[in-house]
Amino acid sequence: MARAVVLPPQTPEALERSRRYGLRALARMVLPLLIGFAITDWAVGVYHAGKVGESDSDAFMRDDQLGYVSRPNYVGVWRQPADIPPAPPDAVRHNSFGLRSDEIPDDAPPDEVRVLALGASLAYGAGRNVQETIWNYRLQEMFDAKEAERGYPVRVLNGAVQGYSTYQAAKRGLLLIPELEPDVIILFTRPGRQSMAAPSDAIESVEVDGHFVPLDVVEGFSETSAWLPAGLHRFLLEHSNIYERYRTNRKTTDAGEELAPNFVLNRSEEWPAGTRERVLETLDQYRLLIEECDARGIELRFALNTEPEQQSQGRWVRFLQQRQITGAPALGTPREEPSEVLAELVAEVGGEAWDLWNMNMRFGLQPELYTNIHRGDDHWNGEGHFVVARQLYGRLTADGLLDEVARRREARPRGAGE
Amino acid sequence: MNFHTFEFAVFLFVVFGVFWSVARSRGKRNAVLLVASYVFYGAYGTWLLTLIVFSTFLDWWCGNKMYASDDKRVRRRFLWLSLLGNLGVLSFFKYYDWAANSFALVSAQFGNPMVHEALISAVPVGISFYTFQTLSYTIDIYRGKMKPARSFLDFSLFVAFFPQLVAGPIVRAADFLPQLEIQPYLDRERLHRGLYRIALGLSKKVLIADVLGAALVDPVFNDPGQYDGWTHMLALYGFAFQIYGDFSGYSDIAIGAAILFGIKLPENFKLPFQARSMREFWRRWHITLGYWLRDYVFFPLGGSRGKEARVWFNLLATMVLVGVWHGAHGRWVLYGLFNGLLMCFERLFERMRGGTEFTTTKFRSALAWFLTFHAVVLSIICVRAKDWDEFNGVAFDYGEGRITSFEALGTLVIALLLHLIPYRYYKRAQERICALPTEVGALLFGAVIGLVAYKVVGATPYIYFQF
Repeated sequence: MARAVVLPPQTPEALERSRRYGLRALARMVLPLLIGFAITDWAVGVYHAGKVGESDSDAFMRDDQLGYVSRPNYVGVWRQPADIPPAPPDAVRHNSFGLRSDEIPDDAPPDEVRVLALGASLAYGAGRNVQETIWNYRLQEMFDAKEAERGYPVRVLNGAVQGYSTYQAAKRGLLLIPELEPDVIILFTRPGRQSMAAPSDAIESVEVDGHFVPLDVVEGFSETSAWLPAGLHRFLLEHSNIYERYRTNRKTTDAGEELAPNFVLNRSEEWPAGTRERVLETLDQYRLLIEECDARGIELRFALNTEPEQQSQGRWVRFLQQRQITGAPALGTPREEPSEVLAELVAEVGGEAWDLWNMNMRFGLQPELYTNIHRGDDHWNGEGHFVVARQLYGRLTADGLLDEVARRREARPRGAGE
Repeated sequence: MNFHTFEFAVFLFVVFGVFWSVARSRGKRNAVLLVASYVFYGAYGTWLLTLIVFSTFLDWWCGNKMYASDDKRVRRRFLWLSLLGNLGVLSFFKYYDWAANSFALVSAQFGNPMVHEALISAVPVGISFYTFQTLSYTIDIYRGKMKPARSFLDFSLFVAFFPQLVAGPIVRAADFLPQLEIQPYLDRERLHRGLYRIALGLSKKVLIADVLGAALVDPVFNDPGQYDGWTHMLALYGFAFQIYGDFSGYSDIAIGAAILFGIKLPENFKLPFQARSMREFWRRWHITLGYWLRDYVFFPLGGSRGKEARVWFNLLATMVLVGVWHGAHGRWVLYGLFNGLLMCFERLFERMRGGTEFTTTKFRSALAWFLTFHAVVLSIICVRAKDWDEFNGVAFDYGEGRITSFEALGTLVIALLLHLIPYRYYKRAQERICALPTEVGALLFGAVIGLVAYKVVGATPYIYFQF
């Protein structure tokens, strides 16, 4: 039997009743709704208390100036593809600065030469649980082995952070310089979107009432009214576990407008909308880092890696063919072009570059030897890290670069004041 | 503006307050909903508004012209105009690149290589849904089944009503427009039902669909050669529940949000994986699309009347259209054909049994359910695979790895168990929750929103937005 359609009462009184009910219910629901939310928020806090290290994302923490940074003193085992067997000590470790390096001892020689690397997942050692097989440990071994011959100690510090753009990396460099007082900074960069064109709103910060808040929080508000979202942001950060996790997880690639994910630098005049602005912002950040390094007598080098797609002609052609609508350069673009453009841009802002093209091409000839063969994971494996370490050792020791900075450091040891 | 965002929560809160503040005036309350709908749709891209406004004007005009004329030729002319206008826009955005690529490929076979550069970066959000809605309006007027909308405002709202605009349910004008004629009504039962459906939809989307996608489905589909056959099968089960949670979750939120404005939308899902035949499955899955195609394609083709070969043709044609509605690719044709053929075989099996019911015992019911479920699961490789390479990879390329994470397998088991609960228990749960005091309901709602907010970071957009 068909059910009769029951029409709601069609009187002005019924409408008025509905109207009043709706508005009152709206008012009555606000407080219980917030309490319900707060209960879950509290439960999230309880659930996650003491769980740092159990999830990959726990390796990072929110930072109002950079979006996120590596969590200091983090120790955790990451999920890995099945083809990378875990081996002892089987953990990812950060020191108290959030660097993927051993702790700097309090009694470290004041005249030791410090090499600080900045960059993203490649330099961070993504996909490698085995801390000691990452390039900076291998490079450290090489320096330690020749210390007596050289006559001064060298400490290699890995300040790269997974998922970073080089905008963030350079900005992080500026923040780390006063604390670490490095002598050489190596900034790993590549010509792709993540490296060059992703300084998203989440990592741009502005100062409101003496506090840094991410730009996206106050975007759309005038200077006079920015205190409201900024205050709410600070309040929620302090009191809401969910919001704190949200801001922490809001990494570069998740945040803001997703622009042309397959953009790579090229000579064409027509870059996808918004990309040029982001590249220029990145270059501005490079300039700031260069100026700071010049002012402090730090040797800054841009290590120019390639995108994995550039490492073989076949892969490059497939990339161009398949990724046209997501920002890849025009069909027929030579695979050297993005790297050439990157080198020119670095030179334009006054940076000195190490061209690592040949090393990258070697990786492309036999990728299975140097990278983790796993779809979507183009990060170096243990052998790859070793090759990178040897390459950097050669660059750092060539032309007496390291000897020169060692002499400068000896004349002005750390802790001696200006 | 996705449903599972803070922006939408604020948007819904504000629109609800404004709507009931001006609810005394029919024009004002409908205007509020129309403006809100355009703001909502414009958030996906302001240029999209030109398409929906074009569709609205075209069908409003054609509908009035058809209704005003007694001349069948004139009526037919305006019906064709509406069909060509709507399907033309839809086809251009959905099929142009595919057609041009295919032409280039064929041309290359004949020694005349051409390069087609993709013209359309993405199909406009929701175009397939609102196009079918507006077509039902003009077709029903042509058939003399309904009168045109009372006002242009009403009709515009029918086309653009934000809760169901981008991914259904596909509403018929005959069901929607009369609801604008009567006074909206809200009481505790309706308010609670609306919030319950919203909470249910959010949970399905964020706690089931997105978790299954990230932990089980995406790893296997992104790299099938890494995983063994058993894990491939798990990923297919996972995708079945992912797409169900994603799509039915959207429908739940749409239905719940509409209730808050006194509008009743049709149900779009009814525990589809409990079906014991493919025909039953399509009566439980994307119900409004199924009924739309039944009424406007299958029946006009002749339906189940006539010779068996003709019925088979009607079934196959309708199901291929279901496939092609989703997108322009051979795998969508395969998807439609596969479903259509299974329905044809079911008819054949039924005829061989002399029209008697097969599922007369529990064992037979379970067998029928098992076979139907697996047929559905196999067919949806076509839905998830982006191209033939991925299709072949998932179907044939096996490695040795396994996914054993508790998050993936636990969520899959929970999704399966939740799905096996009889429908009446869900109705009962809904009734009990609706009977709670408003403050308690709001407290529970807030707790669910908190849980969703906790999990939502990095959540993916709704799968059906692309169609």
